[in-house]
Amino acid sequence: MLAGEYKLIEEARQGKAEAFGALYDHYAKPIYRYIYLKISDKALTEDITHEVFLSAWQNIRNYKFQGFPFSSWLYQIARNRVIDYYRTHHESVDVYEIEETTAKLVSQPANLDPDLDLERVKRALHRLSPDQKEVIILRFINDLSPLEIAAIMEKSEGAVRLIQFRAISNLKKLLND
Amino acid sequence: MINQLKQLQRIEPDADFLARSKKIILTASPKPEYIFQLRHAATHFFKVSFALGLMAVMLLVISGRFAPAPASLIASLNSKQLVRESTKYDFNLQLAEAQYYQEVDKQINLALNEIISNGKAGP
Repeated sequence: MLAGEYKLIEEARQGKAEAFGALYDHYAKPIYRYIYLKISDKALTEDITHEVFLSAWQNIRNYKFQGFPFSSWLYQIARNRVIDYYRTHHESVDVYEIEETTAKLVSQPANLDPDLDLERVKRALHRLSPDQKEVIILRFINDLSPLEIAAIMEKSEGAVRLIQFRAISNLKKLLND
Repeated sequence: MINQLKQLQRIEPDADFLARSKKIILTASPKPEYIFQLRHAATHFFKVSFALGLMAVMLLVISGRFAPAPASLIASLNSKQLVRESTKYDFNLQLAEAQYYQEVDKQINLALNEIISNGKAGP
């Protein structure tokens, strides 16, 4: 959570663009990453990220603090936009295409575990169910707590933990195949 | 495996895109608060109306005033059954007619016998 986030949100609610700008600077990268890992298209990810923050700024006066960080609200908007995108396009994403495009952005780290290959992890990630994939992205890539993920996915914390457990088991199975 | 997943944190947007997008977003202005208040009020109104309507229907059902159509009314909509019933009534009518004529015949016979017997007994 961003330091002084409540103050920034209050100022943004009063129409102060600089305050929302600070929130944008802090959250744009994780929101972009979240959308990219779900859509796997750079141009589309940029469009949706832009729409998410535009919508958040226009509707900032409708934001109510409900015990979760501001990011939960942003992730909810992003999640709905991604769902809308898939609903209108009905397109399936080619796993190999994802690998190719992701590989351009992620360079191979030097200290890789020899037993696990990054490409295989990415491929396995995209073979998980949408819920499992979402939990893995939010929990292990964007470092959100199960409680925050529960708020974003509108599920109970227990349900999120169960999805996480199944996602990890499936990911291990897929990697062992 | 978790460490491998964390490698995906390297995915980042272009700095140019971020700057451009931020500039465009901040030139827009937030929607005024009354829009959200109106929206909330409308949602609340529809929720309350729906709940009241549902309650009224439930009360009607519970009180028995809102009962389904009676079986006779439903049966009257069935054309085949109607034809069957009409045939049955016609048949019943013919039976009643035959019974009537039989009764009348009996009465006439009785009357004729009485007249005959009265004639024989007379002068």
